[in-house]
Amino acid sequence: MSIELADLSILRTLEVPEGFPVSEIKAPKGVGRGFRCLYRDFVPGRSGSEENIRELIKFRRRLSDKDRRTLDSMFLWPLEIVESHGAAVGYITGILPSRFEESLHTPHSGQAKVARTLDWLNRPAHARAVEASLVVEPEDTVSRMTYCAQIARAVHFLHSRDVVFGDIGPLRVVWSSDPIDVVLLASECTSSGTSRSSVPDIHAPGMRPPESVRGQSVQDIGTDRYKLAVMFRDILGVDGDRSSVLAALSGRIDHDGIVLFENGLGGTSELRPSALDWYEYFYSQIMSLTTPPSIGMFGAVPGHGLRNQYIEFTWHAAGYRELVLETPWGEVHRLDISESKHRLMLKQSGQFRLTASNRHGTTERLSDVVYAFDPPTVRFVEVPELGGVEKAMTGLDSTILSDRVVEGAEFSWLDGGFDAVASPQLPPLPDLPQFASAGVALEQVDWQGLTSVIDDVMRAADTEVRGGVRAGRDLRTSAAMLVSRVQSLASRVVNARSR
Amino acid sequence: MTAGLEIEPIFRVRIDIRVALGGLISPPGLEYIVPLTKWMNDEFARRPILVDLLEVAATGGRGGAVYFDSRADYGHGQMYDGIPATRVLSIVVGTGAAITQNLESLEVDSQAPLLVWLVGEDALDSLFSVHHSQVSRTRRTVADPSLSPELFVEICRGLVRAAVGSPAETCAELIESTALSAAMRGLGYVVS
Repeated sequence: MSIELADLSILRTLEVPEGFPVSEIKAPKGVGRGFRCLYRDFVPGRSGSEENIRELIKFRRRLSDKDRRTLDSMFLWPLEIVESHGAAVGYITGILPSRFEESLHTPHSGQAKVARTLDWLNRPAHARAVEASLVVEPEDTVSRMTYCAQIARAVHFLHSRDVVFGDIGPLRVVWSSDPIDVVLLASECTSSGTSRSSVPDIHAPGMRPPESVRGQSVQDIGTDRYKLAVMFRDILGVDGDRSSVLAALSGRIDHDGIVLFENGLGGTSELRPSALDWYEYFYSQIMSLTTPPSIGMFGAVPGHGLRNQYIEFTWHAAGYRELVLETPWGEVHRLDISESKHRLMLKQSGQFRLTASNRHGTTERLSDVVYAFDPPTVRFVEVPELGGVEKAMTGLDSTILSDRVVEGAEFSWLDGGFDAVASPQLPPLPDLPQFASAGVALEQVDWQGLTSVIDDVMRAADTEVRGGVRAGRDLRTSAAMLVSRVQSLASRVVNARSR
Repeated sequence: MTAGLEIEPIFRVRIDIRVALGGLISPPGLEYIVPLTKWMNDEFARRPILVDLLEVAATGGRGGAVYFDSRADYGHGQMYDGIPATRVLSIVVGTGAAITQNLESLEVDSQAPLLVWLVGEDALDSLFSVHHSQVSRTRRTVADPSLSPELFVEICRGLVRAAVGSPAETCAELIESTALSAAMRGLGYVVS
């Protein structure tokens, strides 16, 4: 069933964003929902257009009444093919409601009306300069996210029915306010499952996905998802920093959103968020931005640390436009809303406070107490001076001993004294018992012990002499050691005799 | 991960219009330019996206007046990168005598595809000489003795829309195209 070109009743010719003329016609019987329709010619030289448009018309006819009404409210969709002399020359779509028209003041032609395509949303300064009827400020994130959500909702309608939109771009979306609403303009690039391969490889400027740059000629749901991410970035990042791909979004989008954009604009088609993922994200953001923010978790890793150590805070929060972290020592850190963690130096123990705020209120949350420990220090211990080593060795003060037992601190009685059987020359002591024979005195002296002591010391001294450096010192030490042992043995003898 | 993201840059088309004045007080070329620049102003006002896709400048050549500059009027301080040669289109409008005299001062790009629009009474006479005096590259010279800027403006409008609407075509293809020939409405022209 198709309509003859000659039968169309043309009311006027319009200029459309793409530049070629479109005619407003009286709606043929049974076509569309209103009195007027739009007729457009097929672009000459593009093969596959007719087949594609026929598929789209069939797709719409197959929908349930409810779904068809939804489609008609969200899209400008092909309704009928128009033929002339048996060949298809164009197709009919519905008409755009007048609230999707922008009225502006041109420099030389006075007031003009154009379809309010998405480039008007992305250039509020231009819109203001030409006195457009609708201007959305760059900071009006809630409205902009609502437009994004509506676009995602429309694209999801198609994707969930295996239809690829194809040529997603700013000139294919018109928008309005009161209520915030969008209509997507279907084209020859929109394709349902069967006719996918005949879709022309057309991309709006700046919308070509990496795989298409690399040579993929088919447009599929993956390429649609990439273009959605580019479009949302352009809507939300208006008048932002252009130094890197996502720089314009920092400060406007929270961390969860940044992750969605990173995946959406990446080269891996499978990782890109679906239209439904975007819709859910924007919906939850709008909900949370229109109520006070919520904070789910706020804590530090590690939970305790050394003073002046760096610790990292993480949090789960939603719906905030400002985020502030207060430390127990009074510092206030303003956080970038796109961050998900923050490092700082722990100066003092206490609780940290996270404050999230938006236009509708403020929410606070205190962390657990974070303890700041001081690192252990070593105190120096006084070690008493030992004096001579010989004192330490025996526990006896041999100076005192030598004063009592031997005249002065002389060791000369050692020389030649050992091969003499006679006992050492002892000072006269009172009450010293007289032994009957010298042999008894000798038995009191442990010759074995004495000689072995000397042997040990001389052996040690010998080793040390051969060992080198410390020999001299140790020899004195050893000699002193020997003397004191001899003196103690001798005193034992004396004491034994005196008993 | 953000570091690995790249978005394809938008390649703009540059349309460079030069008006050859030739020393007359009210040269015919100027009458053709004025309606064109008025239309440009309106078109850039109507289509906010145009400033990202197109750069148009209409000047009188070296030291001459600037009649229209889309970057100055609508660019709002954006940064512009260099444009590849295939995306530049030159248009020159004026009488045969004015163009021949002022060829150097017009400073027309020597490689870009060129459309020369001859106006005034001697348009047809100077058609061949002007065409062959241009540096060799894709070019079309049209002789329009009608003294009405209408067709010129219409042709330029079509070129602007075609340049923006079909990124795959180079400007050379636009100049050579049969569609453009068909739009000449009986005027004499040379294409090479």
